[in-house]
This record gives sequence, C-alpha cells and structure tokens, in this order.
Amino acid sequence: MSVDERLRAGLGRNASVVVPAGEARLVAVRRRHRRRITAMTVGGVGAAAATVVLGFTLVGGGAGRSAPEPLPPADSSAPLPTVTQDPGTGPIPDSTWRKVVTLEQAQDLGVPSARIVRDIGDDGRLPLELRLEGGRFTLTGDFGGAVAQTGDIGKVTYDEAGRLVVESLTCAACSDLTLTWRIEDSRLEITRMGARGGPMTRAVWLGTWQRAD
Amino acid sequence: MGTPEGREYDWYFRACFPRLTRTVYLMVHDQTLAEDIAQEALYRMLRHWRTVSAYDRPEAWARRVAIRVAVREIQRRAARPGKEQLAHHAPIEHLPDPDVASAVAELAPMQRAAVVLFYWDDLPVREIAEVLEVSESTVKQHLHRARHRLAVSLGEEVGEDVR
Repeated sequence: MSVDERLRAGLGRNASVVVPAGEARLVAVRRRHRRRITAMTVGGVGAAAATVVLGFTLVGGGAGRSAPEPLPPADSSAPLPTVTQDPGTGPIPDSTWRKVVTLEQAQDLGVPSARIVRDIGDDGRLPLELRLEGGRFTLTGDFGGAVAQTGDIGKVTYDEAGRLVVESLTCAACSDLTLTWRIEDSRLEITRMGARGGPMTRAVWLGTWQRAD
Repeated sequence: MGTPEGREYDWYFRACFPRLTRTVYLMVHDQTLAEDIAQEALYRMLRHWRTVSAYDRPEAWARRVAIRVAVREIQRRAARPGKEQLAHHAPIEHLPDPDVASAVAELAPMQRAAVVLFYWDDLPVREIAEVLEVSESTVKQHLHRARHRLAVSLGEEVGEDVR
C-alpha cells in the first residue's frame, strides 16, 4: 500500500471516533458572546457617564447642580443590522424530501462492497431525508455508527441551465455537484449528476425523492 | 440568537463544528482540546460575524483560525518540560489506526497541519498555503518531508510527490 492510501484511510478511521458535543459548545459560545456584549455595553455607558461628569467638572458647570440623570441602559436585545448576504430560495421551494437507498441500487451504481456494508448496513436500506431551506440543504440519514458524520450540510444554487448546484460544507469530495432535476406531483426526480461525485454520492442523490412535508 | 444574523451564524456553527473538531483532533489527538480550539475559532467568527459572513466561504476563515491555534498549541506543548508533557499526553492506543496517529504525532506542527489538511480535508496545496500563511512551495516541501518520514514510520511505499 502507498503511504498516501494508508494516510487517507487511517486519518478517516481515526476521525470517526470523535463525536463532538456541538450543541453544548454552541450554547457556550452564545453565552460567552452575550457576556462580552453586556460587558462592552456596561463599560461604554460607564465611560460615557465618566466623560460627562468630567466635562461638567472641568467647565465648573457641575457646581450647585443636581446630578445628571443616569443614561438609560442600552438594549442589548435589539436586533443587529441584518446581513445582506441572505441566500434566496431557488426554483425548488423550501421543502423536505425522503428516499431510501437500497443495497441493489448501490451495487448498480458501483459502490464498493466495503462501503455498502459500512454506509448501508446489514438491513440493506439507507433511509435519507433532504431538507432544502433558504438556499441551503441538510441531508440526514442513518449512515451507521462507524462513519465520521451522519449526513451532510451545505448550500444550493442553480446554474444558468436551472440545474441544482450543491456545495457541501463538510465534504470536499461530494461538493460542487451539478444535478438535473424535475418535480412531478409530490416527487423530486434527480436524474443526472455532473462529472463530480463518486458512486456513493450518486447513490445518495440520484433517484426519486418523495415529498415529506 | 433569534435574529436572522444569529440564525445564520448558528447554522454555520452546526455545519462547521464537527468537521473542524475532527480536523483539529487529527493534529492534537485530544478530543477536549480539539473541541476547545474549534469552539474558540467559531467564537472568533461570531465576534467578526458581520465581516466574515460576507465572505464567500466563512467556514474557510474559521478553519484558518482553528489550524493556527492548533499549531501554536502543539508548539507550546512541545516546549514544556518532560513531566508536564506527560501530564498532557493523550492516549492514542484506542484509535482504530494508532500507528497512523503515532506517526503523525511525531511530525513537526506545520507538517502535521499540512498532512491533515491534504489527506483528511482534501484541500488543494493552494488552499493549504492560504491556511498556513506560507507559499505553495513551502507546503509541497512540508508534504514531501512528511510523506517520506511517514513512509518510514509506517513501513509503506512513497509514490509520486503531490502537485
């Protein structure tokens, strides 16, 4: 085996044991940010008040006068200006779709048998859910416990021919996919994929998705 | 964070955190430390969110921060006296491929980062150069040296160099 193959396989396997506590860490980040904003607000109000008092003292205007009214606290809950980079929805409306990849489909598309066992499992069925919302996609499924991630997440856009262009945030090898699609009744048919994407990626995306919402 | 800006950030956090943690973990071999570093990078992204969210790939910004923090942490740990290093030694025997983990852990910090970004994150040399703030030829040099060293450690063959 070449050292490149060994490294790719070894790093992938070692990464699969890490199950990060994402939500707990997000809560911690939000809390820390709120504390910082509050400290900055309090500090800012304090500095402003000190400046006013100092100004009064320097010009002698404070003598014999009552203390100035305290400044109202800044409203830290007020919404910040909205970012203009808000991806719009495309021709496929915001929606949720489901499909099941079977063992036979994966074999027909040339998925290696080791990958089938790992990703599809002994029961020969891989149920998937695809959510399209606000120019983004979330793909979830029961990929089995041995893999590093249980799905994918990323952005969707449309090219000039109206094809769906998928950009994964988690998987470089399954990114920049160009998908030909059509909707018939409650079915989303993904019929073709561009040059990128290996057999398993094709097994996941191609085929008939049933609307689930 | 109920604002549209906050929801957008939360979405990025959920999308980036697992991958970022795993990338850092492959460098530091300590899950808690890896999560701390990924969290720190994504917290800094929140602090600069108005600027970073306008970038084409905000996640690339967070990855750059996380990798730099990880490289500094590895350097800092390497500079500690022997006993302190032992106290922070993270076991790797339980990993599915402890030989690869052990071989990677012997590399210099920048070589480690280059190897993980190239072989695990599948980043091209150009992007690795941006992350590490070095030239492309320096990245190729890191990868070249690392591959030869890893080939010896793992008893594997060295193929053609990366382009």
